Amino acid sequence: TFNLWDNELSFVEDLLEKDVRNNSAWNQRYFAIFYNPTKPSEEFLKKEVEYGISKIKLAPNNISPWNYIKGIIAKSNIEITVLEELCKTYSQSDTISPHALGCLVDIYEDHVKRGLTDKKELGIKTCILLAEKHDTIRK
Amino acid sequence: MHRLETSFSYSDNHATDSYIAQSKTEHDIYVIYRRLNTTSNVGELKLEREKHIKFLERGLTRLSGGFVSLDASKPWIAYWILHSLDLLGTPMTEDLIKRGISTLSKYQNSTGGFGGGSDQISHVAVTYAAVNALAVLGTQEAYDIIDRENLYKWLLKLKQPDGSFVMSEGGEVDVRGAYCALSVAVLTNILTPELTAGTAEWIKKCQNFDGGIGGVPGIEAHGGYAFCALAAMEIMGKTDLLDIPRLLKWAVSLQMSLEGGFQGRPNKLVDGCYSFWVGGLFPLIEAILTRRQFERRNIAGEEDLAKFIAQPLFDQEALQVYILAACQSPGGGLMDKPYLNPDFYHTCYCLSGLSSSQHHIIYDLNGELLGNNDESTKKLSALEKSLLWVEEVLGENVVGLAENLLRPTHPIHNVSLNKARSIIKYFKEKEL
Repeated sequence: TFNLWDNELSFVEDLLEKDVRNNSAWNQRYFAIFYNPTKPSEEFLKKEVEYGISKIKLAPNNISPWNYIKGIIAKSNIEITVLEELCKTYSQSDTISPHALGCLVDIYEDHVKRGLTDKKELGIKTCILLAEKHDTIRK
Repeated sequence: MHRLETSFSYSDNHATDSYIAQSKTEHDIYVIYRRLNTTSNVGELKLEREKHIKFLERGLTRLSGGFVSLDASKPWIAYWILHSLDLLGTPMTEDLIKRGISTLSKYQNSTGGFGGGSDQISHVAVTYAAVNALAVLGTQEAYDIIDRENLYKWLLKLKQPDGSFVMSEGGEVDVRGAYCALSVAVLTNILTPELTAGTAEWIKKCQNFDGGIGGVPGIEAHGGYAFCALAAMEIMGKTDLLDIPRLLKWAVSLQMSLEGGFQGRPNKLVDGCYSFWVGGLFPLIEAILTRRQFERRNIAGEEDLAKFIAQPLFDQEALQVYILAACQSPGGGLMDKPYLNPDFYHTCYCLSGLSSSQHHIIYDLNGELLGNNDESTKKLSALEKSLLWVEEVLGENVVGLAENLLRPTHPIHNVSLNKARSIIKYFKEKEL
């Protein structure tokens, strides 16, 4: 190869420094990792989740890193429940992000799928919260 | 409208270029909606039919010098204008049909397919536009100019070993190729297993981590490509290869909270044309979900089917308000967003999106079941399936004046339902 892949991640870092809402850059990051002939290790993916979380903290209403992290989780052995605390932070009254609430619903759905039906009520309540208050266009 | 004040995007105390652009767009539209709230109500929103018809008809007689940039897209201009006129209920006059046939036939190549103009090599996107335009013209003479045999041979030349299609010989690959090729193949009855071999598997690879679909595998998910991909999969009956729930979540996330219209990608700006590219995903997704529900319950009998018909999965009213209040140009024609100029492309896709959200076009599962019960017990062909899209009775949802209602458009081919049916039925009888 011509080492074309080596500089992709640092290039993406620069783009995201300039604008963390650059959806194309987030896509490029995913591409650089998963279309790379060298497959990423679990350790590497865990770091990517942490990277995503750090960017969410900059702007929790920015949807791109939320999508990105869920994408990483889907391709790894990491559980979606690792995001639960992050989601709860952004579900509090002064810093609400509909993406956090949406992610909580995903987490509760995951619980229910694995037989832990106690979260079903909570999941439904969160959906109602989104529909009536925080993301009304998507009711 | 009550949701206006709470629907602005949050800066999160971290403004970036994307946020600034979005914020400006929101303020432009806020001003318009505010005025709407106070001066009249949403029920009085009017689609300015006469103005748009004049704008479109002008384009059929004279195009200004700037149009030289679309010299390789003449069939597109024909389709955008004719389809828009058709949606607005304008009849195709004898003169228009004659002119249309005469012009488009000059763009067809003897080796198959249509080019962007005379002496231009065939390209699958303008071929799609030309065939659709001929479908809108709607007469046997129009249909008969299509050289089906060579069209088929040429489409096969575009087919790649991995299942994808290039846009023209020596051209680039992307999912529009598959959609354009398959759509014309259905309309002209030249769809074969050879033409679709491997295509569904290739399109599947284009679905991204966020649930959306990009132009080629790995590329960012985008509304235009997502529509092409889903429509192509629907033609092939292979929608099960896609993760539909995740596609739905992505599509739904693209509707803008304040504006009501759709963006083409996360964190980008609203644009009237996505009213069709993204808005048009929903009738297809609803049909897929309805089918799946039905299969799961395995119930026969018409009474039960009605229970499973999925209801609109996005905010149709908000979309229509955006198109009517923010996308109509005072001089006629529709556009991307306020303060931009109208053009034929945006007129076509704003109207297509408006039509798509006014009607509830559903897939007639009952008709499919009946079709499957004939002696041959073969599964329905793609052509037959394309004929099964119908308007749900009393399913209309019109924002503003009642006369804003447009003709219904076919969810896969994007020509009006009747025109789509007419051309399919004509070629259905003809062998290759």
